[in-house]
Amino acid sequence: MTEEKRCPACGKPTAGYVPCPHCGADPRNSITLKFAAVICVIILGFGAVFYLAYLTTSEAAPTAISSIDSWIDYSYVWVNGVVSSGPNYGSGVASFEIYDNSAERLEDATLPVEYYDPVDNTVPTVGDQIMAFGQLRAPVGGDKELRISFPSDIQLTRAEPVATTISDIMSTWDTSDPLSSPWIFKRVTLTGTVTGVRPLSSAKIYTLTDGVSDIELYVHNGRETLENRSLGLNVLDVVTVTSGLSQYSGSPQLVLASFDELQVVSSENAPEVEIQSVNENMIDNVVRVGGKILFVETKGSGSDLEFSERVLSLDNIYNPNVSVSEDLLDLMSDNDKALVKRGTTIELVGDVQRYGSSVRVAWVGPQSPTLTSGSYEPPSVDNFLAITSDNLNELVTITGSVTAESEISVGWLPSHWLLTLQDNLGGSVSVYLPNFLYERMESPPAVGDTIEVVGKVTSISGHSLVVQPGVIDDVQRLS
Amino acid sequence: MRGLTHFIMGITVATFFKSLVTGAILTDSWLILLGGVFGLLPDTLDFKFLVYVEKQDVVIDPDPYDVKPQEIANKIADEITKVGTMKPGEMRRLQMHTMKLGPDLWQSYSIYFNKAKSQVEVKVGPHATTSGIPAFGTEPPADKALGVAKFTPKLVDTHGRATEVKGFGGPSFGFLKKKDGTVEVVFIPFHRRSGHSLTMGIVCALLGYLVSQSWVVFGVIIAGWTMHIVLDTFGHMGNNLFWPITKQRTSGLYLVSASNPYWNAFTVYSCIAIILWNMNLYNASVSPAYTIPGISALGPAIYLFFVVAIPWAIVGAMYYWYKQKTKGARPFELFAPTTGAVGMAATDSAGVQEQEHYYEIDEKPKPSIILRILGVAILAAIFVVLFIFGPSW
Amino acid sequence: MIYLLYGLIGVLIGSVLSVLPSLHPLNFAGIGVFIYLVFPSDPLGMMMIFMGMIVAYSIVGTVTSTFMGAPDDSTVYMVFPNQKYLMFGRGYEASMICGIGALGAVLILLMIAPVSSTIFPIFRKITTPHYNWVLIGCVVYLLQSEWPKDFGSRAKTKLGRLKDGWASLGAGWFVFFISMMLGFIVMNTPIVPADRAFQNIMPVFVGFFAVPWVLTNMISKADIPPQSVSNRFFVSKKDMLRGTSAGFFGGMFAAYEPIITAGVGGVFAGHATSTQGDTQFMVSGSAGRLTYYVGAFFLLWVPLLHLTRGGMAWTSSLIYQPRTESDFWLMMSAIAVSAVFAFIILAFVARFIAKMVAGVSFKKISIAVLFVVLAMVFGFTGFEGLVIMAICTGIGLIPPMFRTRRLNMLLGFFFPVFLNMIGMRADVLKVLGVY
Repeated sequence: MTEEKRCPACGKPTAGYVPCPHCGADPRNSITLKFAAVICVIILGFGAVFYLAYLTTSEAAPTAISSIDSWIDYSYVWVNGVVSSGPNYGSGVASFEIYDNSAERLEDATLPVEYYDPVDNTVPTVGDQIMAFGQLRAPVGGDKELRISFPSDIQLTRAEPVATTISDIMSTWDTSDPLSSPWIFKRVTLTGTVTGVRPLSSAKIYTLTDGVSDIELYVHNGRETLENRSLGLNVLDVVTVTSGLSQYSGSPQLVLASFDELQVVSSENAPEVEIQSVNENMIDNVVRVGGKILFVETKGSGSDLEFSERVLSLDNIYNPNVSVSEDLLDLMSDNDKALVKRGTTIELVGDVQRYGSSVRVAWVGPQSPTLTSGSYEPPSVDNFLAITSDNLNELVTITGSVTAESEISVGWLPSHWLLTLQDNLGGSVSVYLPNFLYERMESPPAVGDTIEVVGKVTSISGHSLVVQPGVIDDVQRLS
Repeated sequence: MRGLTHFIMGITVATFFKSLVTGAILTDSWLILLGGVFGLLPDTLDFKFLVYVEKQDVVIDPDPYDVKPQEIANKIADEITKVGTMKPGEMRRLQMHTMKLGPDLWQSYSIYFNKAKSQVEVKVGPHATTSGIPAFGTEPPADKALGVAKFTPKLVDTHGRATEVKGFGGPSFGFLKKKDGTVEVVFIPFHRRSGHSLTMGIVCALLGYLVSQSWVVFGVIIAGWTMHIVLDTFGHMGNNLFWPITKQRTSGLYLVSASNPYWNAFTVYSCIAIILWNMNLYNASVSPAYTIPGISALGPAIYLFFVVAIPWAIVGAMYYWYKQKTKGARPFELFAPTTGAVGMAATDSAGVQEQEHYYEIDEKPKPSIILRILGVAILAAIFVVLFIFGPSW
Repeated sequence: MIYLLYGLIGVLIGSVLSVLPSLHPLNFAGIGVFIYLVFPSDPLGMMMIFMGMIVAYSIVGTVTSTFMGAPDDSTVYMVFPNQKYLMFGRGYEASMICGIGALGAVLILLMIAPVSSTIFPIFRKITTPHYNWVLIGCVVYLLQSEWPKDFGSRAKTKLGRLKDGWASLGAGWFVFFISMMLGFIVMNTPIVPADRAFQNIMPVFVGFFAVPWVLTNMISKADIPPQSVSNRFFVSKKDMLRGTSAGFFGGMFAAYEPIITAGVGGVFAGHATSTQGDTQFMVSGSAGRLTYYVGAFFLLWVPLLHLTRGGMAWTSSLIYQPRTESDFWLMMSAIAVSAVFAFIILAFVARFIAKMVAGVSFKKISIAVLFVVLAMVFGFTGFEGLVIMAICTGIGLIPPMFRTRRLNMLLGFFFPVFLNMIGMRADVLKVLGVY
């Protein structure tokens, strides 16, 4: 230990002191590159073991849907199951659901899926077995969903369809326990007759029957956009459809994935019946009726200003009416819809229904009725005093000046209006304008206006005799 | 203990309060942090406020370019002698200042209270960096290296070794006249007094209650504060528990060393384990998605046994083996003469850790075993109370 | 095996980029995506390249912090031990000690890999609803735990001494507040051009940390002394073990917890384990850095976890998400091989630079570094980025001047993100009168 002893770290003389008074290095505690090399070897050993693990494990481990909860929000998972609903198409996205039997309750084992920029042959349909990978969203208090971004993240085993009948499905279905059905989430082929359609905002639900039982067929509107055509079904078409069987609110529902999977085999003809011959014996029968539209009466929903249905009087006001729901009317083209008016001759298929103490024919969709334009004006009444209770339900044309107007309050909705119309002879009659017509008029009639009204003589609460127009065009301002 | 240990211990006791944990989840309440804030607050008060408002009876502020160790020693010895003539309970405070030569260069000096010879020894060392590396060749000449001054009364010094003065602010000493006529050296007398009393904790808790009108807030403040006091009592320097009724610091229980990294790490790890236990337990009342029933089903005792006791038994065994292996080894081995300024500089070089077992002090207090057991029992009792009653708070 | 090769390529690219000062892993992620777009390749291979880059940054990047700054006694008070070692002629040793610390962290990461798919989901399940208060708690602790760094007040009055003592603390709070305001502005106002918006934080980081460092180095009068390139490193195995384990836990806490960065995690780890001495500090810092960057990326690959943390994970998940357990094992084996390769590169690069820098005027090095930094910021973020960088440099000079924590800048800058996470951003902005 001489004065010339130098620090092995900084090289300065230490006079023998340790640690080095210059740099603090303590040569009693040191490691060498060998120490690092040993660590490297151990690390490489781990690397080799893990590489072996990589070579020997390849299966993806799916996550049970029932175990998904907000604590794994945003993580990426595999989900394995059967497609239980969909696909529904939006803008650049296809939505469906996967069921994996990981819980007793259907809702707990079902996961909605959003598949972005879908590639057609990778879009699953109900009944397909699917192994899908994507990002999970499961926000606290929010809805769970899986988001798939790449077609390669979907592994599909397409289901083979099995032939069956509507009766077979319905006879084995338990609404309180849909999962017990042998057909749930299976792909089936069956034949049925179209007996109706219920349009929704994003889809149409057709009713198919095999004469014994009925079943619903769900067709998402996005399919029309995708295929750039409509399904073109008509009531009484006999169709063969291959689709998956899903459920909605416990009831079975066929889900059509592609228009190519539905073929119209034939079309039944409804028996032609004179409208005036429609009677109670025909209730629940589908018939073909026709006639000239004498009057179109619009009915409101009562809870808002929307129309709920139109009631058509054909050939004679005493004939059974034809009712058509507004959403069925909306299925028609604008041109055809405009033709459903007074004077048009119409031929349509309808379902005979009881209506109070009488019967009426309910328009069943989907159909394109035969429409021939025409005109009709009910007889004109110049002396309003001649309109009495004996004229109830008759159609009249009246022209007069509005001498008074009053509102009939209906709670939070806009009021109905009652106009007093005076003829040239001083007689007057009340004209009832329901709010769903009044609010649609560009310039409703006011006191002093001379108007012509085509309407039905009827009574309303508090007023035994009023004339009620059917549609907006039944009221014309003359001056 | 280190600040983080206190803070996390405060958070730990706060997580026993079910309403605080569920409130944090459901309403993003931050009240749970009060445990941590008030768990650390005693040291915050001491080192951010009380240190600056401490009374300074005498100030030692040497000239770094002309250090006179004899003058320093004389001044200190005079103070000790003066205190010896005062009434019991009275204290004189001495502030030592550092001598800065540059941004990272200090003129080091040390003070040693030599009880055996009743003298103060002030040694001037070489220039040194903040981390203690001396600048070789800057030792003072022999006539300016040492100052020795005698004092009269019998001195009690529980620190037992020289105090280095370099880097940032210097330490303060209190010289306390005791009833038996001796004078005790109190290191940094401002520390662990009013700011570390249970009475101050109660005051803070009452203030918290007044502001929030919530007994839970009162409870979490007092719990966090109390745990700080308890942990500090486990060390060497005690607390003034009932200030202003009691005047002086008690001695600690000498169960742990506050700066010992293993005790700190152990405490932090155990706290995290307990926090996770409480989270898992109380998350269940918000959503089953956030809880693992299997862990709660174990019960706290088994959980702590497997998660805390076993790992730390292994680490403790390794630590004990290491300590046995390095027992007796001094941090510095001197291969050169120990006399002269150079030798003194080498002896007193800084950058030393974990030295306490190298110096055996005759007068090092040894609290009775009963007191030590009582201390541990109090800590255990606090946790038992928290485990039992926490779910209802 | 081809994927392991991708990883090694990533290490090479990352090593080159790591030597450039001012680059951050977020920049690496952006560069990686750029490479992928220009040279489309196997997405999984691209992920291996990302991983290699981040491993290289964590290991080879210590060369930058060691050799790109060297203070004299007038500036050394702000320096990390790496640069102190450089001035002692031990720069190569400092780099290697850091590199070994990083290797230690890799080893711990590999050791916990087999149980990670059990442990981490448990942590996630239990701690998910508590992120918010834990984050705020971290900020509260860091602000509360900063002790005054005065040199002993000579003021005669108590108030005077209090004022002296609180100078550094007050500066710390001021830095926190002003960084928070900057955070609100930068993260909500499109200052940087929109096509470079993904790099909008780069000028902030550079201004906070790199430029002040370089500027203070530029006033240094020191020449770098000759460097020892001995393969004997003066650190005890105990210090290595303590530093590595402390750094790993701090880094993993930062990787797991959103928003918390490596520096914050390192502070927590250091406090929790009472890190002492320069070597433990260096080892801990390096281990923490690797664990933070590589660990955050690792969390994306843990089966059943797939936690997206850190810029690299977020950016790379646009290209590929790990699908199977075998992806995880492949990534772990690639990390192992890449880490060893990066360490070997470190050894050569550090040795080479150690020999090159001896006798070089540190002022010249600093000027060169400054030009590179300015060019990088301008290249990535344009003139607007330079303006932000200048403002941040002003803020970044406050901590060294007032002896307060640089960490306060980071805490303040990211505090708006904390507030956003807990839904309080709008309320705070209203209080500040800027909403």
